[in-house]
Amino acid sequence: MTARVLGRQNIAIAALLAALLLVPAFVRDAYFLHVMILISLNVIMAVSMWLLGITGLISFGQAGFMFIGAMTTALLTKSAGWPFWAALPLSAVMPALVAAPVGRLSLRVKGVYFFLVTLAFGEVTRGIFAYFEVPFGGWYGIRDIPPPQPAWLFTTLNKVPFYYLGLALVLLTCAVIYRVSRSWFGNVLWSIRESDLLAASVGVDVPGTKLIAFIVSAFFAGLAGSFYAGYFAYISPLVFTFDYSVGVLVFIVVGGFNSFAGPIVGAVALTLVPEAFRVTGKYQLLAYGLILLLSMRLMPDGITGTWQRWRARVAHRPVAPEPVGIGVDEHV
Amino acid sequence: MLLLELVELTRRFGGLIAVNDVSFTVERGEIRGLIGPNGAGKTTLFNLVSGVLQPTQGRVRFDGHDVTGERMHRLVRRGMVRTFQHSQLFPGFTVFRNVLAATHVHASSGLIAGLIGSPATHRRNEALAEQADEIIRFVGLSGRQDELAGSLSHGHKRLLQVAVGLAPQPRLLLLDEPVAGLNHEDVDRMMTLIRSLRDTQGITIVLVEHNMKAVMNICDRITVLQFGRKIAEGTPAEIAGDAKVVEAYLGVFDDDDAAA
Repeated sequence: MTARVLGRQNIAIAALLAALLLVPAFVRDAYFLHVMILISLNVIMAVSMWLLGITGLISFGQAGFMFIGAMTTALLTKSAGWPFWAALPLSAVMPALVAAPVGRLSLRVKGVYFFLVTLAFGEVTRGIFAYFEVPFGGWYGIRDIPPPQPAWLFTTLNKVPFYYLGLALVLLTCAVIYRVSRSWFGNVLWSIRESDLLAASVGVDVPGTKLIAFIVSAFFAGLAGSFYAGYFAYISPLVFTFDYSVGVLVFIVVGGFNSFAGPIVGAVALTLVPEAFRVTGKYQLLAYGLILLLSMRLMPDGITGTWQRWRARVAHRPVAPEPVGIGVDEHV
Repeated sequence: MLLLELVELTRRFGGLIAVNDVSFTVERGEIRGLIGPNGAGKTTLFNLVSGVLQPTQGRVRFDGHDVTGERMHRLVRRGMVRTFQHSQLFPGFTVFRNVLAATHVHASSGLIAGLIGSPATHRRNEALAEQADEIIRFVGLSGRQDELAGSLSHGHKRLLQVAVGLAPQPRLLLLDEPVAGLNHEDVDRMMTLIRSLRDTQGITIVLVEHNMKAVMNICDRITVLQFGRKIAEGTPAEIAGDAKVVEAYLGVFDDDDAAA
C-alpha cells in the first residue's frame, strides 16, 4: 500500500519536474516567466522559514537575511567586480554567519518574544542599509547590479535563463530541506515543537538545535536574496520589509504547516492568486484578502492538510498520525 | 557505591527558601523515596539535581563527578534522566515515535549526518527502532505502538512516560510522582514495573510520591522534606515510626487546634 503510494508520488514528482523543465520550450511569454521566477523566490523563502517553523518558532527576520544576501551580491558584483557565481554562495554564507550570534541572542526567548526580537532584527538590518548611503545605497537602494555571467545569456529581455536559475535554486533548497526534515535532526525539530521540556529531558540540546535550524533558514534566505539581486538588478530597503516576512508566513499557513509540501503549495498559490486578480485593478488587494480569509476559515490545516483529510475520508481510514498543527492562534 | 550525592543544596526564590541545606546520598541500585507535605520542595530538589534549575548553594555529584548546574541534556548523556509530574509526552507523536525520539543521545542525529544519510547512520538509527520496540514491550504497551500519545488513557500515558525515560538508557532515573492519579490496579502495575527496572536493569531510582502505600512498599530508604529541609531519613519502617514525620503530616495535637 505505502509502496504503491510512494511510487505514485515519485512518478508525480518526476512528471512535475519534467513539465517545469519544458515550460520555456512552450511558453516564452515574459510576463508568465516573470511570475514563475517570483514563485521560485517565494518558494525558497517559504521552505526555509518552514524548517525553523517546525519547532514552533517563526522568524520575522527572514526578509532581513534575504536583504543581507542580496546586499552581499550587489556589493560583490557591482563594487568589487566579482562574477555573480562567486557572489552567490557567499551571499548565502553571509546571512548564515550573521544568524549565528543573532540566533544565540533571540533564541533565549520563546514564543511571541522571539517574533519580536527577529522582527527587530529585520528592521534594524533594513535601517542600517537605509541609513548608510555609502556603501549600501541608502533609501535609494542599489541599481544596475550586474546580471549573472555570461552576459549574453542573462539579458534583461530573455527571462529563460533566469527561470532555469530559479528552478535550480528551488530544487537545491527543497532537496536539502526535505532531507533534513526527514532525518533524525528533523525529527528532533518536530519533537521540540511537541514538548521542548521533554526533548531536553531525553538529551536534546534544544537551544543548539534551534540555532542550527535558524542558521540553515538564514542560509537559504540569503540564497533567495542573491538571486533576487541578480534577477531584478535593483535592491532597496523598500523591498525586504517586515511585510514580506509576514507574507512568507502566510504562504506557509495557507499551504499547511504539517507537511513539506505545505510551504511550496502555499507559495505557488499565493503568488498566482494576486496575479490572477490583477484584472480587478484597484480591487486586487481586496480580492487577495478575501481569499486569505476564506482559506483560513475553510482550511485551517492549510491546503495540504485539507487534501490529506479529504483523501483519508475517501479511503475510509484515519488521517495519518503526523504531528498536529502549529496552532496559529497560539503562536501568532 | 555512591551514585548520587547532594551536598548542602540550597535554592532561594527571592525571599523564599524552597530547598534549604539538603544533603543526602543515594547508593547504586537503590530505590529511594522522597516524600513530604505539599510545598516541601521535592520537585524543586528534582529540578536542582536534574539541571532544570541552578542551585543557589551546594553541590551535586553524580557517579563521582561534580555536575552542579550542568544542563539537563548533558546530564542525560552522563546517565541521569528524569520524568515530570504532569505527563510530559510528545502528544502528537505515536507511542513508538515518542520512545524512538527519546533514544536521541544514541542516535546519529546531526544536520550533516541527516543530509548525507550514509548507510552507517541508517544502520545506527534502525537499531534504535528495535530498541524502542523492546522498551515498549517491557513497560507493557505493545500493541499500542501506533496510537497517538495524546489519546492514551492516563495510566498508559504514565507507562509511556517511563518508557520515554528508559529510552536514553539511564543509570539513574528520577521519577516525579509516577503513580499520581492512577487507580489501584495501575498503581500496582507501575510499582511492579519500577521494581523490575531496578531488579532486571540495575537502574537506580529516586522517586517523589504522595501515595504512601506505594512508597512504603517499594522504597529501600526514604528521605523526608518539610519546608525545604530534610527532617528524616531511613527505611520505610523507621520513617513510619518517626515522630517528626508524623508531626509534619498530621500536625501537633493540642487544645488550640482541637478548638479550631
